[in-house]
Amino acid sequence: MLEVDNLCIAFETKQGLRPTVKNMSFSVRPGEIVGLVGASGSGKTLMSLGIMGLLPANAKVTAGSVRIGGTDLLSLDAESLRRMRGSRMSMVFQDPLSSLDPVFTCGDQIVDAIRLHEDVSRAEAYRRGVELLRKERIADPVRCMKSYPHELSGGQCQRVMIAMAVACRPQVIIADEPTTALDVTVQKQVLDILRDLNREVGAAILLITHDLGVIYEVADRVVVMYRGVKMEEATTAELFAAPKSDYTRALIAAMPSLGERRDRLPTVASALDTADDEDAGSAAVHTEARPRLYAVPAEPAEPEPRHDAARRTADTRSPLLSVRNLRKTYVVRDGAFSPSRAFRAVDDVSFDIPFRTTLGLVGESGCGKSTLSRLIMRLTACDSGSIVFNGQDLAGLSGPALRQARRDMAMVFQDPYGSLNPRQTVEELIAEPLVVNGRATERAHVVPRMIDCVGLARSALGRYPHEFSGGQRQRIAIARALALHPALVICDEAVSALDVSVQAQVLNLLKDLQHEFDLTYLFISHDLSVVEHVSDTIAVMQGGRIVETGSADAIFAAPTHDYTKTLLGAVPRAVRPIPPPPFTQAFQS
Amino acid sequence: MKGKLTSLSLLTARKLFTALVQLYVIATLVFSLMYVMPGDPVRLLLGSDSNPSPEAIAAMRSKLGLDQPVLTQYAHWLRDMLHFDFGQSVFDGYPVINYIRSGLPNTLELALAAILVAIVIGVPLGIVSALRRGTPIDAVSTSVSTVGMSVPVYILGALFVVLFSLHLHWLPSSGYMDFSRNPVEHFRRLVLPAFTLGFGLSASISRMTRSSMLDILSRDFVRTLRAKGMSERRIVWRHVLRNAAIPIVTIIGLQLGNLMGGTVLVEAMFNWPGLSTLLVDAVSKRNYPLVQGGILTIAALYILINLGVDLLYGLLDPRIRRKRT
Repeated sequence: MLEVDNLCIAFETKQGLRPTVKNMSFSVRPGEIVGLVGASGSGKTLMSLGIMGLLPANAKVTAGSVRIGGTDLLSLDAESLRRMRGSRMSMVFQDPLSSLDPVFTCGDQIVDAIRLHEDVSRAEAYRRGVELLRKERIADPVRCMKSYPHELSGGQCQRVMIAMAVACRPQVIIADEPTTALDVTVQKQVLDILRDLNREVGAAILLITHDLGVIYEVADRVVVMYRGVKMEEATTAELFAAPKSDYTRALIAAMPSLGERRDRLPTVASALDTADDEDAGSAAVHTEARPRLYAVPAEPAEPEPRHDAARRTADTRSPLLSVRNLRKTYVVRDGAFSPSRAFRAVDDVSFDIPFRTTLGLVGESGCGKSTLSRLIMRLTACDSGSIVFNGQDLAGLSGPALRQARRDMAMVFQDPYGSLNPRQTVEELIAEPLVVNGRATERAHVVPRMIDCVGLARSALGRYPHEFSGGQRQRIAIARALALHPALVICDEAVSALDVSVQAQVLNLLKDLQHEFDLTYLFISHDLSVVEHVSDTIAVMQGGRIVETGSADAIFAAPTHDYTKTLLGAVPRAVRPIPPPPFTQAFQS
Repeated sequence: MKGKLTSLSLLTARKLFTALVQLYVIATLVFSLMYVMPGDPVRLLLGSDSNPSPEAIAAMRSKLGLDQPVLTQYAHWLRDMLHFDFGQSVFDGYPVINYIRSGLPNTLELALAAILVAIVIGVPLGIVSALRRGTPIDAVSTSVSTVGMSVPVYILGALFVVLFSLHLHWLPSSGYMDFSRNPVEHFRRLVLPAFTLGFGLSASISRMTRSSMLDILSRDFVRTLRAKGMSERRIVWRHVLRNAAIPIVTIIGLQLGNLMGGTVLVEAMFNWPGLSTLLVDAVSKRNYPLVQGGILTIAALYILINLGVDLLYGLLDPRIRRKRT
């Protein structure tokens, strides 16, 4: 049905054409789901846009053909191609909320999708929209049709996207990371819906993802892509049983997988090189494949910051952070006329984090994880409860005392693109906490040390954030967080925006730094496999409450709470049939 | 649809309430103006007599109610304002409201015509340069708007007069003609001042339109619309423009508000009998009641325009309807 033959796509740059997708060939049959895997920057999305004829202005197809049911798309004129889009081929995108027009109702957008290609009345199209949403198991389809995208959850929005994509019964559907922005349990529902609906529609689905677990769950066949080149193509069973290429093997090995705890995750050695290539001109910044352990250069011993010294003498067995009965309530209103009601974002939460350990806090979006982290940093005031940090109750502090206490805490955020000021150099970024705290004089020796610790070259210091890949930026954010030698680091979804291979490197780095700097982590994530990998203890959060706590091993081996079981059950599991290779240095292109 | 209307009317009620509060605050400020400004208004009123007798001053004070306690005066002031009674002009005893009635429509007409010109030039120019970004068309329109923004109105006005009136003889160079007496001539005399004012304004409107359009064009949902198979024209007119409208409406609203008191140069240049001219004249002569009435009228219009803009936001963007203020 969909046949891609020898497709080449290149970016036009000042230096000439830069090939990004090279000689890709594969096909998808009706009713089949083919997974396309690869790290970000491997050309997956570009290829899908190439198929749809939606390439950005600076990219063009240089060779090859794309056929749908015998029609060569590349030879069509713009108008005929437009008619094909939405009717014979359609697309589902990654971020459902931003992929829908915010000022039109979902109903309008679905109706539009139908009426653009079929000569039916508005009422008829509306009826079909409601029917589609009902099939997608949306509780109140009529209400959903009347809602604006911002009034719906991510999962509901993605269902609206899927409804639009299947509305005209296309022959080909391209789903580009359709579940990456969604919670695990929602991800499962959305994948199920996509698969079930497709039984009826019978389209050929190309499912693009970086998540091998998703592939394992739903795909019939898999195409692995690396740097624009097809590495291998196999049925899903074959691929996981006996991956042929070294890259695939490394990719499978790098996944933090449930039920297997390892000290270090193997990393895909060359993944960072790929990232380097993405960022024009950053070739000089060479990242090491593995963050150097104890990479502090042999310099004369630094005078220990005072609070650091104090910390060492502290009883290491008493908890560094002890939260008791913490509560935070927001007043919300559902609609213009609904009465305002109290929303308990954090409801009677208590936990301890012992010195030098990691507490993994898991839960789905909206469960109160981020509110909790803001409460601990005292960025938001709590309603009641205590936050004892280093023997001091933060809840009662204010002014200089609070600022002093905050110096011992640091945060690493989810989005490494948004959390670094684009107009500051890396050196300025890392030095900022020092400057703000009146320790600017230490800048000259602390900053290079930090950049060494996170495994970036010192030449990176003079550059700006946009010159780095996502993983590298997250390293910069970590270096900044560590500049003041904090005792507690709160990682709020710190690796969620990263590719599997890069994620593994950052997780390893965090572990190494924990040993090196005696760090205590509060590691917040929606990704159970990541949390399992880094945590000593785990707290599961649902609806503002902590429903289960325990050691990581215990929780994963025998979850007691229903919600924990649901969460665990929803994780796409890829079995790891082969022992991971000793280290994946083998794969160096 | 019903939900849309109820949330819209709720928004309206809220905004209306805010507007009333704002008006009250401004009325109070204007009232206190009398006491803050240097010089005794009574002495000014009796200005023809260089050395008025104490009896004359006292008589004038009681006539104006200035001998009463401040709070009583304040209450009377508010009461008069509610009845649109701004008092009398100091020099001829004419009711201030009559002056405003004669000047305001002219200023409003000029301001609206100027904004219309600005929109008609600015919005399409912005759209075209956003869609043709980086092409010569974009470069030309961007540089024209830079010129438009940097040339002062009095130079632009003079250039227009020289070109269209003295050289080409298409339009009269200045003056005003009552609509009821000669409608055609009325509009012919409106053209030059309106273009003089509107040209500069169109520059910032086209800038804003361009950048707002570019921002929206790069959004994910535009890609979705293309993937749905929608034509570019429909994407731009139905979806992009509506999403891009808020900053554009904002700037148009601000400009219109500023024009309420900002037409003075053009009014003077084209001999246009508007409110701005009246007000400048009143200020220089310390004609307090007229100044107060004029400021209050302009402020009320400004608030009204802002109210309209706010309500338009709600109409344009469903996300604003629900937001609590």
